[in-house]
Amino acid sequence: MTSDLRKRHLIMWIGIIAIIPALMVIAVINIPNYPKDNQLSKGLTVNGETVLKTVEAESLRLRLLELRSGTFLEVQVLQPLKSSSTAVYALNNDLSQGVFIGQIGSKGPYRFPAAGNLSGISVFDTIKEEEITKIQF
Amino acid sequence: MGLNYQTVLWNKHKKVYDKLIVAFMLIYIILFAGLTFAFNGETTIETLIIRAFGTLAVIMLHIILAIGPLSRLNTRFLPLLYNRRHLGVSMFLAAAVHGVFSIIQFHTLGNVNPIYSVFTSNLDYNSLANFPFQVLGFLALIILFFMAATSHDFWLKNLSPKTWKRLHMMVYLAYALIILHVFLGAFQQETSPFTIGFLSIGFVVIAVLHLAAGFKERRTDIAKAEKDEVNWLYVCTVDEIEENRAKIFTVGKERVAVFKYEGKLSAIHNVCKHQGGPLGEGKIVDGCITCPWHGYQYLPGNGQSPPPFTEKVATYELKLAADKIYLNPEAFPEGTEVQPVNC
Amino acid sequence: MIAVIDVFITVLAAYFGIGVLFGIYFFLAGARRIDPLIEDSKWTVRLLLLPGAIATWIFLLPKLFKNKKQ
Repeated sequence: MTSDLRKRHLIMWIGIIAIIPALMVIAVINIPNYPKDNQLSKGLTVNGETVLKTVEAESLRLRLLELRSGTFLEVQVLQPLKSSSTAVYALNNDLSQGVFIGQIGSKGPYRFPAAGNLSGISVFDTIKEEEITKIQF
Repeated sequence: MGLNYQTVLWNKHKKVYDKLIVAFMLIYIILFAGLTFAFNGETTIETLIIRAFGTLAVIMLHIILAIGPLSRLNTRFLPLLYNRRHLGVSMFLAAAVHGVFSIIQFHTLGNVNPIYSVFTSNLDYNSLANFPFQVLGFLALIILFFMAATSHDFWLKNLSPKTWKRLHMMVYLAYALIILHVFLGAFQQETSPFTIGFLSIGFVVIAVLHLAAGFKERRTDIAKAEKDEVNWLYVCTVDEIEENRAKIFTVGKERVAVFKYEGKLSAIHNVCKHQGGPLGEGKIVDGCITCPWHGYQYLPGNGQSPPPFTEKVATYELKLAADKIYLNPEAFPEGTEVQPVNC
Repeated sequence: MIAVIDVFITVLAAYFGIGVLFGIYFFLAGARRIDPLIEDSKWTVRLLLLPGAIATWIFLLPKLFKNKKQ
């Protein structure tokens, strides 16, 4: 290598070291957009559960639960989902997509705080940005 | 060097090197698949392929980026540099599998052109948390394609070494794009501290290696030599150079390699015509200075490649005062015959 | 944003479209115009060089015209 090329390498690396870590930190801070777990309420007790509504469709079992700490939507994923990043939204009365409820992933139960008058959910593929299905109670 | 072009210039060492690359890639994919099915049995085969090849490409890119500075810091790593291009092409192929499968899985089901869909399926370009990270990976893949497609020596010669080197230095841009692709993308779905940790450590290691090598070379480049009464520069004593090896010496902005062999001393420009390899870090093999990077050869007396090859580098005049070697800083035109100094 | 993306994708498609056309010419005749040494090499070499020709036609085209003039 020539001395100019060596100098260019060094300058480029100083630039990379100045920019990339800053972007890494910003990215990490911004990650919890809708993480899988932290909308699951901790400390739910089975005692005192009242099932308000329930429905099963498209390999998902939904239960709307009344607990001491509030109303919760339980989504049980019965079969592996085809989409690799899946979000659940509330369904408005006109069947349009409402507020974001949470993220679901591999097989298993997920619980999210939800409104007691929830009429259904919209399951959404966040990578393709398209609705997979609607489920109504 | 060659008089015609071969599809791939294989020799015994390169074959071993390439077999190791293939073995590493296969073992990694098999291990990744095994572990995925053991711990996360519901993963679909497409997701498995996308993740396995994506992570493989990232790991290989880290290895590739470490080879350059490692071999400048310690000559024992030079054998890795020798065939780095095949590692680069293999890495591109792994990245391409990841890219093609991702586009098929996420973008071919709609009615828009899949490439157009990569850019428009998510338009949150203003948001960091929901940034369309696939675009970053796509751009990095295009850069890697340019590099892999032009890795043959034909392109080095016909695009001119300067253009070629510039094109291939874009690997740093690709690296930056890939880091952001992973940080903004894969982590949106899998916020495992292990992945964040691995990539952060990888970045620190690569950055430190490049800085260390860069500053080491910088010290050599700015070193000032003492002059004698006719402005020739003092290089070193004869004993400081090993037989069939060289001392690298900086003259202004250029580096010169002073070789000792068969009781003689010769000086030539340090930069190989092929890819700019450091000739002074090579050895004299069969009477020829042999570049440590890809084995191009030059005669020490005149800086010319032995016939039928035509590469030429500049030569320099030396003199001895007692056992001290002095060098005339004015270079001769490339390929000029200079009488070696007896020592 | 869509406008920027449209322009970018169109340029990209045009670049690689021209690249493929150039690549066909490169494979059939252009390679030896650019570098006569390719004459002694097998056709598989030109096939291996094809992606490079598609990618870097913009650098090769001026060279081709220059070689033609000489």
